[in-house]
Amino acid sequence: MELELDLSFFYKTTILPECVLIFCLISILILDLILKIKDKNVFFFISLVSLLLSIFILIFQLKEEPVISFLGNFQADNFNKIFRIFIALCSILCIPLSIDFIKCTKLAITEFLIFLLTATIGGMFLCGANDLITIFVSLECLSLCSYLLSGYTKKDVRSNEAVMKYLLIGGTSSSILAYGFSWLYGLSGGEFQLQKIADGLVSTEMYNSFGSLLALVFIIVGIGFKLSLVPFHQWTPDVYEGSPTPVVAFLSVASKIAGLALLVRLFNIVFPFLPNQWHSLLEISAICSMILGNLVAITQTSMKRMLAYSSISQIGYLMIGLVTGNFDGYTSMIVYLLFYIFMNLGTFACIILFGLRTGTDNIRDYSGLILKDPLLTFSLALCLLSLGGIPPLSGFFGKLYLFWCAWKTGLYFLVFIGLFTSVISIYYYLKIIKLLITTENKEVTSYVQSYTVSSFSLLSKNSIEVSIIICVIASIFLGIFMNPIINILQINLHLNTFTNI
Amino acid sequence: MFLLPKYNSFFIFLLLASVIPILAFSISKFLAPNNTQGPEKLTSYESGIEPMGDAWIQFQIRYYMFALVFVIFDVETVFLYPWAMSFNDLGLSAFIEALVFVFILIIGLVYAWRKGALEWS
Repeated sequence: MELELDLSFFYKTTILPECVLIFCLISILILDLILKIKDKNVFFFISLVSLLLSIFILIFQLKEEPVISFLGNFQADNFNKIFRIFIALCSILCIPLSIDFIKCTKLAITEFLIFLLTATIGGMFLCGANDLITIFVSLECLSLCSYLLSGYTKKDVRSNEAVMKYLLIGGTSSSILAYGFSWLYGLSGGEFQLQKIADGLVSTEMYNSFGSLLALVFIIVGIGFKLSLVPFHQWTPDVYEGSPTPVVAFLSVASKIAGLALLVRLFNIVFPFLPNQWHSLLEISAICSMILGNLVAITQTSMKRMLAYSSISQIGYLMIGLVTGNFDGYTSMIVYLLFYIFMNLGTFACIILFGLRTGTDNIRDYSGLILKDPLLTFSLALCLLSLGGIPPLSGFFGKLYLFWCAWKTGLYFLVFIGLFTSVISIYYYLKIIKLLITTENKEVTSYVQSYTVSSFSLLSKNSIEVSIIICVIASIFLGIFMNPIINILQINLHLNTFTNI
Repeated sequence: MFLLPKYNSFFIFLLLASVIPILAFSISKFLAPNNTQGPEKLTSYESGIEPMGDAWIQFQIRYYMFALVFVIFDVETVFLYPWAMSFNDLGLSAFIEALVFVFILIIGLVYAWRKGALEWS
């Protein structure tokens, strides 16, 4: 019997960032079981430190060559490293949002952190997954934790309704995705690694057949449910309305990042022979998302539902970059994704703060907020304007670059729809801002009257305010530093395997 | 592309499997004496005993908790058997991996224990 330590056990540390998070997760569990710590802030500290550590490791790994590890199950190239950094960034911004929320609603803190970290790990593995089984398992890891998080307020009936809807829709979409995968497995002659599937489709001469088109359609439907693209978006407003707001903030960003990374990798590696088909299918759903998301958002009365439709329209904009399909297109998509993280999380942070202090989500209850808390009004207005794309803010630069890249490749119709729906979106964002700063008729609602500002001092901010400040500063000034960001991204993406098509 | 000559036996099997239940029902319909419906025929009948109460009763939630904890160790056994069978080929790295796997499952058990999932009361 030979017992020798194989150095490939460490797999050249490709999954070291995820290992850090798993270690943190287990240590949180053990600490919670062994010690009876009353001050649970330690756990927040541990998880924030480990997320920061994994981001640093990923940034240092950006210099390395793309490698495929775990016998081909996991690929680490710069494209998915950037997406993994984004997912960890979302978690870092979302954890401060949830601290005060959980304290006020008196929920268990440890389990919330564990679910959040597991969802993060699932999303990060999904970005780098290189075979069908790993994709499915990590997708389920992400979505099961999302179901558990969205039903976290167990006593709340709306939360229960949201989690039931989310679970049923998510299960259906996963099974559709698995059916699409089974077509790929069969057509490629029993391969399940992405690159080998593409080779297998060539060798069995099935790459242009009806069967592979069917697999493509099923995979688009399955991922479309997760991304809430338009024909498959019906669950989004209900789930967003019922779930706890910090969870919605996390889901609206993290699951989109992971889904986009999966979509880009899967389609570019497996379906290079059907580019027209998948581009046109995604183009149709992008156009539908932009039009329907923005039009329905006008009529909403609940802030969370409005943001749900707004996020549907934003995924439509992100799809423009994917449909463009060249190097610039992917760069513009990643840049807009970075801006979207900050704009969206900033908006949600403002809503969480308002909801905690007043207990309402209705848009009309926000009227006259500027009299009570000018800082919150200012940040909410800036984040909304940035989402809408008003010139000096970063949302404008992101959209401009996205539309410019699409225009260069000749997607005139898509750009036209994007511009037109941006104007519509500015209308309903401005409607809210008008409501916030209206003081002429002195009509302040009872909710705003009951609003109490805890402290005005700059030092003793609570964690939500810290998050708001980071997001607002990022969504104002990141746009100005857009050229360096694009340069860094393009330098890093050049080493990549499939984006230089 | 859908010709697939190797699957002929499967299609015959599928055909037979779908014919059998249809045959069973139609034979009993033809052979059964066509008597008028008595009151005895409408009563529900479960293995010779008259059913009592509703079939939709509430179960104790603890069964579910125990089933979940059982699944942890069920899956553990399923994964450990193939590893134990090829222990000599896999070497030390697989041994460490199996230890990590068992360690995580033990944490799961301790968690369930401390949170009171194993108490029946």
